[in-house]
Amino acid sequence: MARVFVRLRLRLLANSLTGSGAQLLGLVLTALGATAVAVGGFAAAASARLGDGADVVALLAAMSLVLAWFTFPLIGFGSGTTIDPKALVGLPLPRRALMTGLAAAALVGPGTAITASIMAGAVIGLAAGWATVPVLLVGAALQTLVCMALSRAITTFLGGALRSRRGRDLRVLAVFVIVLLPQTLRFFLPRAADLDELRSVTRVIGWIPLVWPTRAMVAAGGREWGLGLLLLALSVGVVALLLWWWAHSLDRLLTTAEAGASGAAREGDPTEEPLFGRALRWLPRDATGGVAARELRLSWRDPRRRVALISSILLPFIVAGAFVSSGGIDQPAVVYLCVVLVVLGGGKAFNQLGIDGSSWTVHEAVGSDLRRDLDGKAIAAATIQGVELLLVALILAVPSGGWAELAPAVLFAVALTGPQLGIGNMASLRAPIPMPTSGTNLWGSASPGDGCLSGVLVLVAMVALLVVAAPFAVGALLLPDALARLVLALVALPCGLVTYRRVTSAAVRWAEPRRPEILGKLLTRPG
Amino acid sequence: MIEMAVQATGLLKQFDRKVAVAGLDLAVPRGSLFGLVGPNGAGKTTSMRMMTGLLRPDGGQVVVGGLSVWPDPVPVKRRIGILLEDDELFGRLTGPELLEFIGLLRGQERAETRRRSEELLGILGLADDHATLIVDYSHGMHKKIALAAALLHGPNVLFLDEPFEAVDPISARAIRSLLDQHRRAGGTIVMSSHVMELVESMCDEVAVIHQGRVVASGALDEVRGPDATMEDAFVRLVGAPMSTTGNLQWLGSSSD
Repeated sequence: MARVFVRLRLRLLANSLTGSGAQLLGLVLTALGATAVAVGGFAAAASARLGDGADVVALLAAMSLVLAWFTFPLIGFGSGTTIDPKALVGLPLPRRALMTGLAAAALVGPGTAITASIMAGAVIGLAAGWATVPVLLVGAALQTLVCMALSRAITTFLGGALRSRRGRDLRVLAVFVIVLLPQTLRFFLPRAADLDELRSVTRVIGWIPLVWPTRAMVAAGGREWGLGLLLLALSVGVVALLLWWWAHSLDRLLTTAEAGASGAAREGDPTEEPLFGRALRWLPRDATGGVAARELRLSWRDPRRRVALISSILLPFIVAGAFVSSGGIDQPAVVYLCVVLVVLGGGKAFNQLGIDGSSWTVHEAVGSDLRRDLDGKAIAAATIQGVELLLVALILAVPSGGWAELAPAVLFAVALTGPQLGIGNMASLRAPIPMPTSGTNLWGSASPGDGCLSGVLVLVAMVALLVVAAPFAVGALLLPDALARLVLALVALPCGLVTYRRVTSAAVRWAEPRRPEILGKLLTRPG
Repeated sequence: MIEMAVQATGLLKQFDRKVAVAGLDLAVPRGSLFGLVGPNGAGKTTSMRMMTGLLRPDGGQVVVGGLSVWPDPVPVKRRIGILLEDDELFGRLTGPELLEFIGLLRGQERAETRRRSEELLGILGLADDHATLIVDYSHGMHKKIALAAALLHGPNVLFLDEPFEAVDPISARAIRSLLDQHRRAGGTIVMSSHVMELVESMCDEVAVIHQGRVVASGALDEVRGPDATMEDAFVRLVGAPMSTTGNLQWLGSSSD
């Protein structure tokens, strides 16, 4: 049975390589990244020696692997190549056979390869004579099993709840918090600058049962045989406990009904204008205003856009936190960091159609005015970004005393928004990449490789934006005072607007005769 | 001479090496309800998307209401309505929000859009769900809101891909009544369906598509020919066996 599942997994992996050229490029880049992690992890773990941090490296690596196995399946990083047990619900498979097959399949793939590579490095780094090798090998194998069993158990346990629409929405937010939390905490925790401080961290980590196999390896490396063997025995217990949890969750997943749409009706006044309501009444009542209203409404309702919005709102606090923790907040020039927000915000602007995906068909079906569509999206993006950058500038001005620089900094940022959105429109039309929607398969996501490709696109567009902004940045640096910079910023404003209009016009001219092909790239199916 | 609302000539489309539509010819008389039938993968949806300006053909021509769809489909799109698939709507809008949005994209007068929206949502039984996001609609409700979106601007020609799929009998009756009204007002409907009884009861003319080509086209009686039902005629035309007896004798033989 295990062989059948492994073959199925290999087939799914092979099928993910049959995408378009662009997807393949993305996959190759993702594979290169994964290889770099595997090789780098192996080298780091293998090169450290006992007494010289091998224990610290091994425990930190093990904890990172546990966290990765815990979060990646929830994020949907598996690109649809993981077997969804729900798809097997109709087959007469005993639970033991099903679990054996799923476990064997889960152990085939890039995740296991990376884990095995890093754990192999740890075996080399911790080895203290041939006598220790068997214990180290058993420990490495158990650590891999713990990771696999944890991953399967958690996704199976949460599977039922996360399949509902609201559950999927919450998943996106939860994953975002998981990713963001370490970055935020970094500013508020003492810095682990030397080995002793790091060792004190790993001493705490070592109490977590999920890394006991690695702790057993560390003990064996230090020839503490009793402790090592005890931890190995306890690790077997941890694996057994995780497998029991997985089996129990699997039974529940396969024998209970799917959660329904659970979409409680939103509060709404039927006498109001449906799309604009009271909050958006300032928008023009035409196609441009309609697109802007839709974008602003979706910025909160669509979980993917909500994550982007929340991250933009949190960014100022993270930036301020970084400067407070580094002691560099007393410089008035810090206010200009709000301009950086515009550059970072480009990530959203550079794939404006990709976030719509198949829904862009609505625009094509009615034969909409592309220029108005893009202007509407620009109004929505500029509105959100305008509020954000004002917030950032104020937050940075208070502790730094940079009030004199506030006006020029905000104006420079607003001016840069023009080329940002213009270049964003060009990139969005020339290389639209559909963003994965949260599908019903928790274990999968859309087009593998697209995430990496999207990253490359953002990078190229950001470079173009920096080139456009360079003359004003140099000018601002050379000018003697805030007043002179304010004058330069006032000059930059119309330049930004003209750049937006010119680049957007060029983008629309290029795109008009290619609209069916652009739509084709946004659809996940042919036709 | 009968005036044609839609005329497709030699339509071609190929995806990689797979030929989806291989020289399709079609003539839809003005004011008719025209059925497009064919097995799965026959090229019905691909043909419809080429006729509505959503997919550029590799060859051939389409004329709708006297206007050539290609190379510039926008003027044609102003006159036609297209039933979009579930994932092609903005699922995070409510039904009324989607209709107002589409009205604005089409440049319609707002009060008129509002009046039509309320009427359509009422007839299609979606009025009580005015505050529910489309993503939370059932499949049948998706079909109905997509139909409302296609009808909002009062198009001359409607292109409907499987409009009755997963729709309950009460909603189906509401949809049929809407389509009847559209036809009485002089509108033309091109509709694809797998349900032969439905095609037989609703359509004036029908085209059977198989492997990207029209294998039979004309009035229902002509296409039905000597067969008792449209389903029999369909099976004969696409070359499928009429019976499967003699094979698969192992079916139902499991002893467990």
